[in-house]
Amino acid sequence: MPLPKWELAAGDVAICTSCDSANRVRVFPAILAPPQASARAEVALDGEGTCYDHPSKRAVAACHQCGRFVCRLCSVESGSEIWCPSCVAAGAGKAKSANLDTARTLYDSTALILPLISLLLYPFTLIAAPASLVLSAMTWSRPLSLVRRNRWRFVAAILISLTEICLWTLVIVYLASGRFRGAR
Amino acid sequence: MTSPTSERYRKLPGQRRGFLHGASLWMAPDHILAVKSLRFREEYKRFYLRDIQAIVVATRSRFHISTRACGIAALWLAVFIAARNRAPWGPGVMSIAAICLMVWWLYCSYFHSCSCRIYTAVSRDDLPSIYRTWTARKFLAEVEPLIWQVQGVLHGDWAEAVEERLVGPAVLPPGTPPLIQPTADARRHTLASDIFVACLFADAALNFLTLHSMTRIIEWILYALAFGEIGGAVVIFLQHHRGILRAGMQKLAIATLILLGAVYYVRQILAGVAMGNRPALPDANLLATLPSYLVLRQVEAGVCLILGLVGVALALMPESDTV
Repeated sequence: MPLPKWELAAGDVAICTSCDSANRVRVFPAILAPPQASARAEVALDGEGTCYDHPSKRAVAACHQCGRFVCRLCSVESGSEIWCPSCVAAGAGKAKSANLDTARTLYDSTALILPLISLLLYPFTLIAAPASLVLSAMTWSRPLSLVRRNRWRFVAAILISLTEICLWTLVIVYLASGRFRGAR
Repeated sequence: MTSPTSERYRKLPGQRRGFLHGASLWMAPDHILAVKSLRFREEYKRFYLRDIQAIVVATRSRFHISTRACGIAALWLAVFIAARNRAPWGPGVMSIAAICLMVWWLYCSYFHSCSCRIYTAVSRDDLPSIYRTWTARKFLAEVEPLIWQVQGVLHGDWAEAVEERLVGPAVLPPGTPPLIQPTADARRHTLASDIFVACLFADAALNFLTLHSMTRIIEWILYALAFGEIGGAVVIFLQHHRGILRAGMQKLAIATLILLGAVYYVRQILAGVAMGNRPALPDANLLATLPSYLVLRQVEAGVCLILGLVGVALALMPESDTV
């Protein structure tokens, strides 16, 4: 739904005539920008550089990764760089640019939650604590959240898991030694 | 070790902290990053400063219970329990404190809450992390100068010029197919969720029917049902994660796991109290005679029944209502 026009004409706070809510509206020059030109690639003239994937289209840039020429349609903006579709697709597997990430799995949070949530039914810590240790070891070097800065959750998960494993070991040793004494 | 990409983001005011969902905003040199966190996963959306057309903050009441609020409530409860028998004025003071906190929360939720929406030429998105007016003010104070730096400032009779323009994405005429076809709809229920709900009903029925006659066999059947519920909950999580099952059933599974955990510990405490210092396992019949244990089983049965009914409602309700 478009912004109601009366909001813009009012001063700092505009009151909605239908629901009486106070609205603070901030408008920026992008609102007046002409609609963007179509991304349709232009046909290349004789002697002009052409797109690697579309030989009849005029190249507008070179891929920052592989150097291939790309037309307007094929150019993918990644931060300050232009990538070709192949490099974007190839990067999805390994060296993916952070600017293209739309989601990340938080392995550190998973590793931390496992030994904690299993405390709800403590016998499950027998499975969850080693699972958390393995998960922490396997995913330690995986990319974290885009915005978090360190791996304290991994460290906390490892410490909690080790504590739970130690406690279980003590319990098992205690029970086993008790049985052993009882048998003698 | 620090992630090489994390250094360039700076936290912006506002954070929504929920038990399952959270949201926050971060500032990069050329864009605002909106982060939606789903406990084990984060989703990102970027709003480039050059593209932002407008930001609208509308006042409206919002009664969000954050994890911080729950933490304060838990702290209050702990202090209340500790102070209950130590000072005669303790309960009175704690009650007044609780009322004050509640009034403050209601006041903020009703009079100082808002929703914030950001518009670009192709999108309009709510910013869930901004839900208090003072946070919105701080957010605007931080972001506005940066957008002005990139876009410049509006001069002249801009309100008149804006009058004739459309803000946000264009509204498609009715019947126009969407640009991106939605993926196959998640289902309301699956075999696993059906078994899960059936286990809930069986648990409730067995608890009600055997309130005064607990035997070892019934106890083992109840354990089996509990394991069925836990297994069902795990499968429901996986199916929801893969997009097979809708979110409502996942929430039901979480509520069931919390109930199972709480009942498990309370039962252990009651059994411990009943058995005193004797090291043997508590006798099921002895436990069944305890009034507090009886109440626990009634509560468990009642909550299981309610959860089962919610499960049935989720499975039968129309698609749009269950998301």
